[in-house]
Amino acid sequence: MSEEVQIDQEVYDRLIAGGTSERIARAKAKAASVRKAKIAEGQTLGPRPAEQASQALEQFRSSQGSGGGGVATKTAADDAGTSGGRLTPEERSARVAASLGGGNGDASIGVPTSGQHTHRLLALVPPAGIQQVQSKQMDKVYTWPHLLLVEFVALLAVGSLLLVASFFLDAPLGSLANPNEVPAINKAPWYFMGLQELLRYFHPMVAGVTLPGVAVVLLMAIPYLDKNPSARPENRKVANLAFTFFMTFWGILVIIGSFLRGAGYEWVWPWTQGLGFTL
Amino acid sequence: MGKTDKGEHPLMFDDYVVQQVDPQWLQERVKPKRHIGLTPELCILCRACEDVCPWECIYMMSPNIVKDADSPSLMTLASQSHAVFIIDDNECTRCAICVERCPSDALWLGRVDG
Repeated sequence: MSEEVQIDQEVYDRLIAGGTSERIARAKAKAASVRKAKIAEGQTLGPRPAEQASQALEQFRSSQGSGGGGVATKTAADDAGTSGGRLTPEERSARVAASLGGGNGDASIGVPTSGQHTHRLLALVPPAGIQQVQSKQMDKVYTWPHLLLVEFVALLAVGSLLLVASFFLDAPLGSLANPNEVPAINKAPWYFMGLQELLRYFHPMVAGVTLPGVAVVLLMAIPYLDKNPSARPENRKVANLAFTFFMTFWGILVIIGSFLRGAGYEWVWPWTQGLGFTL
Repeated sequence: MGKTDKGEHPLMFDDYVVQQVDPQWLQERVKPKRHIGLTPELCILCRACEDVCPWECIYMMSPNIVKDADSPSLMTLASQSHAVFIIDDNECTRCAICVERCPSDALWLGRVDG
C-alpha cells in the first residue's frame, strides 16, 4: 500500500545530500508528498484546537443514540473550560456500542454494551511475582547483634582493665600547694608533656604559640593538601605518612617528658635515679 | 492513581466483572494492533508505569475491585493476587513510555494472541 505514495523528489534529494540514510529520506519524502496533497485539498495539518475537540464532543453528545461514532478514543481536553473534554463512562460505552453497530448487544464480541465500563485486565500479579530474589545481597549486616555485641564486649574489657588498674595504682590528690616549697619535679599532665618538652628547647613564644599554631593550620589544611578520594587505607599514602609522623614525633616528646626528666626538669636515665614519673 | 493535568481523577469502579474478550476482536477493533502487556512474574509493584502514563490509563488496583469473573479459576486467581493491573485500551495511545520506564521489564508492547 505504501508503494502507491509518490515520494517528493525534491525533499528526497535534499535529505540525501544532507547525509540522511536512504530509508529515512524515502519515508520523509513520502510524508512530505502526503502533506502536500492534504494541504492542496484544503485540510489543515497539525494539532487541532481545543474548541474543535469540544465541538466534536458536543456534536457526539447531541447525536448520541442515533448511530455514528467510530472507535472510542481519547478526546482532547478542553482548554476552553467548557463542560466536557472527557467522556463519562456512560458516554464512552455508548460510543463503543455505537461503533459496534447500533448497540445490538451481541455478546459474541465479548464487550458489554450496557452502561458497564470496560477495561482490559493486564495481569493479576501473584505473590510469587514480588517475592522474587534477583541477586543475593552480600554486603549488609545489622547493627544488632553484629556491631553492638562487639562493642559491648569491648566495653566490658576496658571497664575491667580500668577497675584492676585503679585497684593497684594510687592517684592521690596530694597535699595543699605551698608556694614556699616548690617540689623537685613539677610536670604537666601527660598529655601536655610534649608541649612542656618543647619549652625545653625553644623560646616560649615559639614552643607555646608558633609551633602549635603551625600544627593547627596544617591540620586544617589537610583536606586541601591531600585530595586523594580513595577510602581505602592502603591508598592513602600522604594521610598515613602525616599521621604516623605526627604521632611518632609527639609520642616521643611525651615519653621523654614523662619518663626521662627528673628534678629541675633535667635529663635522667631511669636506671640512675628511678622513673621520674608521677601520676 | 495520580491526578491528571486538569486535576481530575478518572472514574474508578469496585465491581469489575472479568470477561474473556476475543483477541481477534481486540486486534480488529483497536488501532494500532499492538497492546501493552504485563508479565506478572517480573512485576515488582513499583507503580512507575502508573506514574509516567500521560493518559492515566494504566493502573494498579487492589484485587478487591474484581467482583466476579467468567471462570471460577480466574476468580480464585484474582482473589489470591497482590494486585490487579488494568489498562484502558481506548485511552492508551501505545506511546510505550510505561514500557520504557518499567525497571524490571515486566511491561511489553506487542500483539495479544489468543
